[in-house]
Amino acid sequence: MKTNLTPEALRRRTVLQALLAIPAFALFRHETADVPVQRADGYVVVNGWVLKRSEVA
Amino acid sequence: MIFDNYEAFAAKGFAPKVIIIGSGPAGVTIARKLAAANIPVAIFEAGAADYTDESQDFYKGTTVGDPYFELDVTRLRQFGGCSNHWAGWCRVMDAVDFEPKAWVPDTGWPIRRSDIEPFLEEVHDILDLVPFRDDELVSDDIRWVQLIKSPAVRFSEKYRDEIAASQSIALVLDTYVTELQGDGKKVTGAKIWSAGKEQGVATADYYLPCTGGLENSRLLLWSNERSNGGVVPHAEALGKYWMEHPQFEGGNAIMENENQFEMDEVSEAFFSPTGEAMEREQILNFGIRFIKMPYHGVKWLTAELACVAPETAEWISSGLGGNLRCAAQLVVGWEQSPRADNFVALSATERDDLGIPRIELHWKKRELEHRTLLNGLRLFGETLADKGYGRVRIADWVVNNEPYPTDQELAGHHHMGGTRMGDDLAKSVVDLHQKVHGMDNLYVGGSSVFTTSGQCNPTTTIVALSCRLGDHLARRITQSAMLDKG
Repeated sequence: MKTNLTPEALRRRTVLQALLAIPAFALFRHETADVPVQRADGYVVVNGWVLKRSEVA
Repeated sequence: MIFDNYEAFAAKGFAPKVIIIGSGPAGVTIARKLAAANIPVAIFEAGAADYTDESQDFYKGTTVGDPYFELDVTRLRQFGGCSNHWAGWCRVMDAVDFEPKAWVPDTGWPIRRSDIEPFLEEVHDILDLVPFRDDELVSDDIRWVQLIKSPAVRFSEKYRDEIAASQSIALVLDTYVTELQGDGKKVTGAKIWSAGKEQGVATADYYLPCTGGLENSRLLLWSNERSNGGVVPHAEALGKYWMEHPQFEGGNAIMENENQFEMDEVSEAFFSPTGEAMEREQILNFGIRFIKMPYHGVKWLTAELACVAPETAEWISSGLGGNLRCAAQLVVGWEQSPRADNFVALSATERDDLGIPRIELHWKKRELEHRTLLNGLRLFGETLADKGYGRVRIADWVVNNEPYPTDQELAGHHHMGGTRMGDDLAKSVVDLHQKVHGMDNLYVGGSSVFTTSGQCNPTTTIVALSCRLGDHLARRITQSAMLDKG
């Protein structure tokens, strides 16, 4: 199927589709996110996610 | 030769040089090695050719500490032993597993992996394995390792005809060795119950309990009690340092490229730490089982990730091209620290139908185990993030150090330790040749001799050690016979 959407719009739509596909309460379960666990080596753990510090700055 | 009971065996007049107790992978492998050297060997199997409830009842016991499996469910008392219900997952313990670790007390075997490597070709034939590939480094911290899912050799099926035709092996079913008798230097006989009654004492030059990672301790504890220390004269460690592989769902991963790692036929891949990472984090070995999740799992994870790192979630989704297919469940199994306060004891109150105390297993996971689980998942997550492969979410109960879930697999049904190998008489039961300290003719086979547990399924290492022990004993017996002739 052809589409006139830009690649950026496609990416956003993909994320949006994912978000819409789950019950809303799941989104707010971690509404008050844990305080990130700071690590010296550039990584943090937020709500269990192991992330680069730059991703949550 | 296969006999239905001890009476039929006794009528044959077969005189074994070696008595092996138990017909699981260790017992059968050692018997075949001895038979190849023309050494007559009897295998006394307490169970029948097939499963019976009556036989399993002898394996009932209790556990004190963490939740564990029923002891008559987690093992099998029949020809072939636990090979009748194992899954066939194979990997040899890592070289690092045999090394002492300064950050964990009582680690380090008296042998190294190189001592069992000469036997791995035989192990491949016995377990019908394809060759292992080398581990691949994903990062300085994480190895992508191979765990072969073999056809799960049932020893009773694969070796029944060979044993039946052998003139050197006598497999005697329905023959329960209720105790070994000894004088503190040698075992002098094995007391037998078969065909519903006592059958006296069987004798041979050598004795090898191969009854499994729980029952070896029970048999030796009871025998030692009955003989006032005449079977295991240095018994301080007997029954102790018992280990399992705790196993739990520790988290999830979401991947940018679903083909990043080659999956096996059931969409799984396996990861372990490097030795350097273990030392730096002060943890033990672990194995992360990366299991591809169904479609809905990735949507849920992407939404979760969007809450804490929206741009990362967008990048992941973009990489998936809208298919949203690649997420994984992370099941972690890990090495347990060897501790004297995890042990097999004889029950003071519960006995089997023949009056022999049942097992009371004392088993608990400790702080080091949680640290291994948590830091292991974090290392894996950092590796995926650093390489740009994806992101890991560690389960809440792991991050928050909450109690272990009770509705999961719990452990691997891997019973290790209790008669561990070592040089220190106070902290081990057998020497580097699996001979009981201070005893001239008593050896122990199977995973009860493991000094530490490593992280992988134990059967491959059990069979390798059994090949080595069979080789050693055959050589010793042959040399002894030559000296006698000379």
